[in-house]
Amino acid sequence: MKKSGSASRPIHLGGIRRILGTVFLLLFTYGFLGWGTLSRTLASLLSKIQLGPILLKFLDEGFGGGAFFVAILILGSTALFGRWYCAFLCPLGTVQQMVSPRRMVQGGRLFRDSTVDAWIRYGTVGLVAVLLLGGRASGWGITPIGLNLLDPYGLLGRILRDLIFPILVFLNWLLFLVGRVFELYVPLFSYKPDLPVFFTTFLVGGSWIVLSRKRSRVYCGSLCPVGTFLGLCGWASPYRIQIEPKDCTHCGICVTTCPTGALRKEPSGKVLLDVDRCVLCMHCVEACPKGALRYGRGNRQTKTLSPSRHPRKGRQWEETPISPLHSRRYFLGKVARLSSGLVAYLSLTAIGGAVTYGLAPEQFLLRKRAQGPSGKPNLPSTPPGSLGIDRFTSLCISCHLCVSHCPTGVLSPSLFEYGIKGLFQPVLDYKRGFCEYTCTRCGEVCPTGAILPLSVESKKTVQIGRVKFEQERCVVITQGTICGACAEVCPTHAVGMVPYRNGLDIPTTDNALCVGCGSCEHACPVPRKAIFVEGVVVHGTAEVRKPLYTRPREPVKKEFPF
Amino acid sequence: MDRREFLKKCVAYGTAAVGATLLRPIEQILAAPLDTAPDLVAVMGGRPADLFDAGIAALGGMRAFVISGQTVAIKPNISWSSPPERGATTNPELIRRIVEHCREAGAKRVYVFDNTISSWQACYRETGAEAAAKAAGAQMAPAHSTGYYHKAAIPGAKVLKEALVHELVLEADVLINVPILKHHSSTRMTAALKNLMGVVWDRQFYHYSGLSQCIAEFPLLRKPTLNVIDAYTVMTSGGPQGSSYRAALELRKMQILSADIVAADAAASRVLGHAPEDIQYISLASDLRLGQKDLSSLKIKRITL
Repeated sequence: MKKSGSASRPIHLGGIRRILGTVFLLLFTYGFLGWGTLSRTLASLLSKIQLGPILLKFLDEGFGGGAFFVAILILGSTALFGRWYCAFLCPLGTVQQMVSPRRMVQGGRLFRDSTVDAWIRYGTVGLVAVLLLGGRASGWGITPIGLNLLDPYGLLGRILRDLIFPILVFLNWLLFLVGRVFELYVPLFSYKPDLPVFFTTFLVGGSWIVLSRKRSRVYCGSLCPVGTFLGLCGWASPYRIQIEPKDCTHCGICVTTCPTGALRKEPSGKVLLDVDRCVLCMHCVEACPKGALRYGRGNRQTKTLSPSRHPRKGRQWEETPISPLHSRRYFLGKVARLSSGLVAYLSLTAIGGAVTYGLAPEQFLLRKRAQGPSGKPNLPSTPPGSLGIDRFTSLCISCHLCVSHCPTGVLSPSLFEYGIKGLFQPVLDYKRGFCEYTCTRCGEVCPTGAILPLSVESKKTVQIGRVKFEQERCVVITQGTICGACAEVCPTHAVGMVPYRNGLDIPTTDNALCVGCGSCEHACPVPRKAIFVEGVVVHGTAEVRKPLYTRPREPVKKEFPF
Repeated sequence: MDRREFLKKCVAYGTAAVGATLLRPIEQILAAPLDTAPDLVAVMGGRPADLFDAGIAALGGMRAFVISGQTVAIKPNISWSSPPERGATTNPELIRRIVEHCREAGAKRVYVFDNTISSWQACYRETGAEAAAKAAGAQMAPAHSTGYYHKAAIPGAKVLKEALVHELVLEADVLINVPILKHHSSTRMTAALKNLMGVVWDRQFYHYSGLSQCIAEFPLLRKPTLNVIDAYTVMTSGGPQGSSYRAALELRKMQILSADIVAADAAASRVLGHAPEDIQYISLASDLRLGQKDLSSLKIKRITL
């Protein structure tokens, strides 16, 4: 048997993976937690090559958009080279790799039994896919709930923004105190604590890290829908980890280093590679004391060969086909496992869907802020550029990049404001801030197109909600003093002041001009707001009136009035 | 600054403020025949920086207010992220010239700050205040987090008994109040007294408890050393933000300088066409003996460039 590719020294792929992965993770972190134009540009560039957001964007744009081409690039290269995306581009994968143990007994698998594991993996992908396509078709805005919870990009985004950032805020505070000693002003980060979201992320992120400490990239191996999907694409990739049978001594070291459980040692001693789990981390290549493993192209002669010990014949070689089509048994086995998982989860989805749609009341799907005078329900407001609640909740992947870059902090992570279907998706919380009239940052950074980019001029015409004034709660009436906090901050004169009595002025509203920015609601000093924004299902259009005076007037009398 | 020192300062400023209020009439009676410096200077007909040069010279130069080695806090109105020509924020040329005068007078450190309404970085940048302050050698102090504010008791106040006040107001040796004169939808006018609302953390308390009363009471804690009202581009309607279609501007090319915050606002109200009594907080502040709203009893120097 010919031995190929061993004469020249192989490229140190593991080292390249470490460097590029780390650089990418650092840039990504800066994009999420930094400030300024550079951070925003970086974030919007990097997040747009993440597969989760790309798939959502593709669903929205169709075949004409840029997302389709990026998706084809990633999926096509995966079909050739395997899950390189997981090694280089996925920042969550890099984090997991960093916290992973070097050796483990059952790395990368939730369950040792491969059938159970396959059910979980393919079932997860199936569930996500069904929700993605079925939810889209139903028009209920339920699309990304599965992706929301499980997409690695969104998960890392939430960990960075909701968990790491508060910790940085604390460190910044310490630095601020040190700065005071030297009479230096250290700017404090603007951060409005959000304890439910912090603790939820703490639990999810914490258990994720504990799991990774024990079982390494178990998330990538058994749970990640993006990883499993890429695995399916790269199932027959010609480039893969090759085991050179002549050099293998069955020591099993490679198996203990594999972070996703792609390498398995059979009781016979045979080492098998599940190509669709392999994330090309190169740990096994580096660990093999005999140098029997390498990454490269297989051909007729150097198919992936797994050494085994036959009870009678002794040491012999068995072929693990490079393509499922080469072995009918292997192929049928895969298909059987895949379809059984799919069937199971399809039925589960159907039952779940029936329960969610049929039995649960609308309030369960979309919880409403009770703010109206008679406890009348109020819809949450979605960011300008999202066009409406259903479109927004059907496209947002909950990465919280927009939350990170919102200058006033009005965009906040939700828990159940959109019901269970929109867990974590950002909502405008006017208690925390208001939507700045000339700011378009959320649309700039959004990777999924859930918030479309807007020019400042077009943003001024978007009505994300409508103003409502409840006169009997207004301090002008209840306290008999002047106030006008709402009219002062209104950027469009949708709220103005008109004479009331005793020389007092009272607010008046005009919804033709209202953009729903919530400045009035944020400024209203009454605990139960007298003026507030009512969300709308589909965003409307606000009128932009021509200014009455375009240039400053010259005074009539040029003398002192006193 | 440790807690003890901070408390001492609070007490000191409180006592000083009360003392000043009580002493004021006697001081005025004693000083009137001897003092040749005017109570109020009004300048008209030039760029904001030139107006200030002329005005401060008439008040005896910046050295009359700043002693070498002191720290100076300058409080402009830069609450909105709009460019200077929109007339919503203090002219940056003026801020720059004031800082330069302070530096010339030997100020050790000069800070410029405002608790803005729009997001603070945008306000500091878009209004041109940051660039102007830095160019003249001042530091832009942040004011967007509760960490910069300390609780202070306001002596003699009936409503605003205590407030979270920016530490620069409590600590700086000299406080220069540099508002812009504008129409205001709530109080009809904003200038010197109303500008000091931007040094406290909780503005909602003002609105909830009586806006005019709180505005009038705040200077009981500390009166600015000098008030410079920018009336170069004056917003006569659609204020204070001026981003709506109703905003109207007038080029008045004026500036009012006075150590008396009430007198400065009384003169400013005339520029907008009001009588000082029309503005609730001017009357209330006058009742609290924070200054003189009756312009006829003041020595006013009028300069036309």
